[in-house]
This record gives sequence, C-alpha cells and structure tokens, in this order.
Amino acid sequence: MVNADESVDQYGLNARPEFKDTIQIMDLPAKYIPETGKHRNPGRLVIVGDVHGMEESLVQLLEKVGFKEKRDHLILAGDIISKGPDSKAVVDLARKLDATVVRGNHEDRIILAAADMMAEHMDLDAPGPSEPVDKVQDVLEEVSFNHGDYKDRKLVKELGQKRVNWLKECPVILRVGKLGDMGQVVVVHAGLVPGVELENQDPTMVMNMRTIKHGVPSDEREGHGWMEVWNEFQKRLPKHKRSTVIYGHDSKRGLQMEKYSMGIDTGCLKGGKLSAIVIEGGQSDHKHKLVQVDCKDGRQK
Amino acid sequence: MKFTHLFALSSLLLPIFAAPEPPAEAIEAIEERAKFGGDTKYFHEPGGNDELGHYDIRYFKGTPVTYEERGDTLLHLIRSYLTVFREKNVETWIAHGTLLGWWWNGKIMPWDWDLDTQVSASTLTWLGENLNMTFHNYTSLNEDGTSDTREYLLDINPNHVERIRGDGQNVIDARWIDVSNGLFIDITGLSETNPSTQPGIWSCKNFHRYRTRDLYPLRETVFEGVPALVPYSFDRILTEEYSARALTKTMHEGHKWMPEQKEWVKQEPINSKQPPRARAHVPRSVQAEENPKSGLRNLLRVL
Repeated sequence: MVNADESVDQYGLNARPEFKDTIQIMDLPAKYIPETGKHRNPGRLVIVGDVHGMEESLVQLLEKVGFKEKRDHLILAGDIISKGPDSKAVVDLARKLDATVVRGNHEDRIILAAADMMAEHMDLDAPGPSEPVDKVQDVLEEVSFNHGDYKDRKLVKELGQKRVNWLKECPVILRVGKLGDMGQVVVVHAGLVPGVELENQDPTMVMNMRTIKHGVPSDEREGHGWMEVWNEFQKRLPKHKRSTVIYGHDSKRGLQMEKYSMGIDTGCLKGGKLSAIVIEGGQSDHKHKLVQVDCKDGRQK
Repeated sequence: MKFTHLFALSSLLLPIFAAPEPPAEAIEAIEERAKFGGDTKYFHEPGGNDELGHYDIRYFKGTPVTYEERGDTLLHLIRSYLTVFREKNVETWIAHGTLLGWWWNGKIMPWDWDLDTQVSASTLTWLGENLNMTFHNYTSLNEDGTSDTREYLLDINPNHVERIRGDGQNVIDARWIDVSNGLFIDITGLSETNPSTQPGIWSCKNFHRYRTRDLYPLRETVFEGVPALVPYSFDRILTEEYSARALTKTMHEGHKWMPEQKEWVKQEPINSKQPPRARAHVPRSVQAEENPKSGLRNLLRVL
C-alpha cells in the first residue's frame, strides 16, 4: 500500500485500459497439472519454445519426448507462427493436440493485422493496404503507404480467419499453478516484471521485453536482462511466494536456465535447436528436464 | 472518390454531417482567418502564454474557461472526435500527452490543456479535400438523463502539403475545435518522409520520428470511454518521448496518482490567480525534440 503522504516512483501502478481481442491471463485447467505421490497420474507437461512454423522439428521433438496425446499436455510459449516454412501446419497440430498456446509478438502482429484488414477504411485514393505486395515505391513518394506489414498480411491470408480466431483465444500469460520447488509456474512469451501482479503486467511488454531499466521493462537488448532482476527478486521473497517463469523470444541469448526462470528459445528457425521443458510429478516433488532436437535452417527467403 | 461510411447512429452519439456547401459560419470563420493574412502562421491563439495559448482565436470568448469547464470541454472534444472519425472510417490514433494519459488510466490528465492525435499524411490529404471547414454536432447523454449538444469545427491547415518544418509556424496540420470556447485538439499528419533513403521512418513536420513497425498495426483500446487506437509500440514511443520515469512518477503538477482510485487527484486547489508563465503555445509534437534524452525535463515542460 502506498503511503498517501509521499510520492513513490514505481512501475506498474497505472490502470491502463484493456485491449480489444487480448486475453491477459488464463489458468491451466487443473486436470493437466502433474500429480505427485505414490498413486499419481503419470501425465506430464511439455513446454516448447518458439516454433516459428517449424512443424517437422516440433513433430520430432514430441517423438523424442515420447509425447502421448491422452496422457501429456503440450504448452507452446508463443511465436509458433511466422518466418518458418509452415505456420498453418503448426497451428493445426497445436489444435489437434489441444495444446495451450501463449500469445507471442508474432501472433500479436498477425491478430492486429487481421483486425485492420477486416476494418472498413474509407478510400483515400492513395496507396494502401490493398495495393500489390510487390510494390516497393509509389508514384508519389510522399504518400507511400508501406506499413511494413506485407509479410504479416500475407500470413493472415494464408492462415485464414478460423486459425486467426483460434490464436485470438490464446492468453498473454498462462498461470500453470504451484509445482513444488518451482513455486507458481507461469508461461509467457518474453518476460515479466517482478513485483507487478500478473493482472497489471503490460501485455505488450510481456510479449516483447528483454531488459529492465530503473524498474521499467524494454524490448531493447542493452541493460540488465529482465530474468536477472526476476531471479534476484524471487530470492528475497518467502519461499511460498516465489514463482518460476518459462519463456522464449530471445534466441540470441539462447538457452537460459536459472533457478526461477527458463528461457527456451534456442533458435530452431535459424538451424539451432527446438527445446522442451518436460515437467512430471515424482514421488514427493515435481521434476523437470530439458529435451532438445536439432533443426534445419528454416528461414524463408 | 469512393467514400464508405457507416450510419451507425447510436442513441448516445449523434454526429451530424455538414452540408457540402460551406455554411455561413464556416465562411465567417474563413473571413476571420483572413484578418491574420500577411503572416505565415495558419492557426492563431489569443495569447502567447500557457493560459491563452490553448484557444483558437476565432472562438475565444475573451476570458479563459475554469478548471472544471476545461476538463468538461476536453472530455467532449476527444469523445466527439474519436466517435465522428470512427463513424466515417477515418483512421486516427492518440499521441503525446494524450497517449500518456491513456497509459495511466485511459483518461485525459487533469492538468492537461490540449489534446493530441495523429493521422497518416494520406488521411490528412483526404480530410483536406473532403471535410475541411465542416461543422459537426455531437450529442452526449448526461448521467441525469439530460443531453448536451456541442458543435465542432474540423479545420485543415492548407500548408499541410508542405512536409517540411519551414519557418516552424505551421507544424500543426489540423484542428478539431470546440466552437463554444475555442479549445481544440491538435491533429498532426505523419508520413514516410524519405521512403527511398529512409524506408520505414515516419515523421511529422517537426521531424518527430517514428518507425513504421512502432506505429502499425494500431491497437484498439478505449480512451475516455470510447473506442480509440494507440500505436503498436506505445511503451517505446512514450519512453522515448518522455523517459521511463513518465511511467513511474506519481506526482505531477500538484496531482498525485492514487492507485486504488485509479485517478490523478489534485493535492491543493489550483491557484487561478497565478500569473501566466511567459511561454508561447507550443504544440506537443514540437516539444520533446530539443533534448529527447532528458525525458524528465521534457515531461516537466509538457506537464
């Protein structure tokens, strides 16, 4: 609680209005949470980093994990689409397996671009979103449209409205639940600001952040990684209040395994690896392990 | 030119389309404007200080409005603007201090004097050709069941085609003016100034630069209770313009942020007899450029 007599500088105290078509938080259905104890149900959670349309690699990874549709539950940490060879197939596989997907910055752009394509715009008699994709420069330089999202618009058309609508239902933050030593497990695409309630996290930043400066998150690379600040913060909390974040987004940093955060974007698209954290219930506590497969470079020209 | 619009008139909001012929009022307004011929500045304010710099001179009644009237006027200015533009399918988004107010609680900051919005340059051209000097009535329902109808003028600066700063007199491209007291919204057009050499960099006339992918795709949200659009990377735009502290500082201009109330609360009565500061009206789009990295100072100057 803020003392009324003093001015306190703190990030996350604001009450920004919500965004259309954005689900802030979802709780993972309890039936998917791995159980502990002697008579536990053997179901596991398989959490996979940025797939980016690399369907083949995802299939290989699930095989390596020994994924069983009826027993295990798949969670994808965002950016399942864009850049790679087959975004459509990845969405279809996720739907078939009834996976829980969190919204990444690429899903976000696609959902927004789709909304803009659906909206009625008055005809400006000027270059616009409906002009040919291959048009680089307009007759009148002055009014060049170039929103820079031709690729996004193309992908929207490729995916079709049904898949885009399915992606809209994906939450920005997935609250998995308390899993022993890991505390409250949360899956997001990019990161979280410690000390700010999940309800008050800025969804744009949750899908894009890399660093935290003076308590304020940023998508820039220079500065303290948000996960450093997050881990420091968790260690100062009483054990029952600690929380572990599993995220993707930052293939340049690569695998980032800390006590209270696990970064699993290992650059599958660029010919790196596709990574999964597999969580299962043990006799007395939950265990987790890392499983990876090698990927071919899937970047589209 | 095709023009698609929705005649979605709700019982709450009744924008009225202006007649194609400029009404007598508009002609008067144009004549009034001609009185200032000779200088290169298009829009004029009654005074060069903070208190008088926020009125359009054609509709200024001679005395400044009260704190309460100002808040009420600005609220209806933005609601009418966003509603009328949305009904006409004209894309616009909120900017500068107005965007910062949205970030805090989706409202105009109570110490703010004017409002800022942006449009693309092609939208601005379209507005100039199709809706310049049009009056729009906007009716709002009060909580007690009564209603108020207010009238607004959309005025496009004919110099907006000159996409360079020039002598700095015409950095604002258009205004949405409350004709009852002259308070207004600054509307600025953004375009990709050098698509060949600097693709993806947009700017207004004052060289305020934005990256295409920071602006688009726009995000739909709510401002002062009506649907509104904000730039894609609003966080980055706000911290670059005002510094990260603008997102954490909870005391501004004698107002304190109350997280439980989700409001900026005035800490002491505003002293209306305070002498106006000797400072000309400087549109938001101009202010942050001098020293963009010292965001706090920018913020203080803006606020």
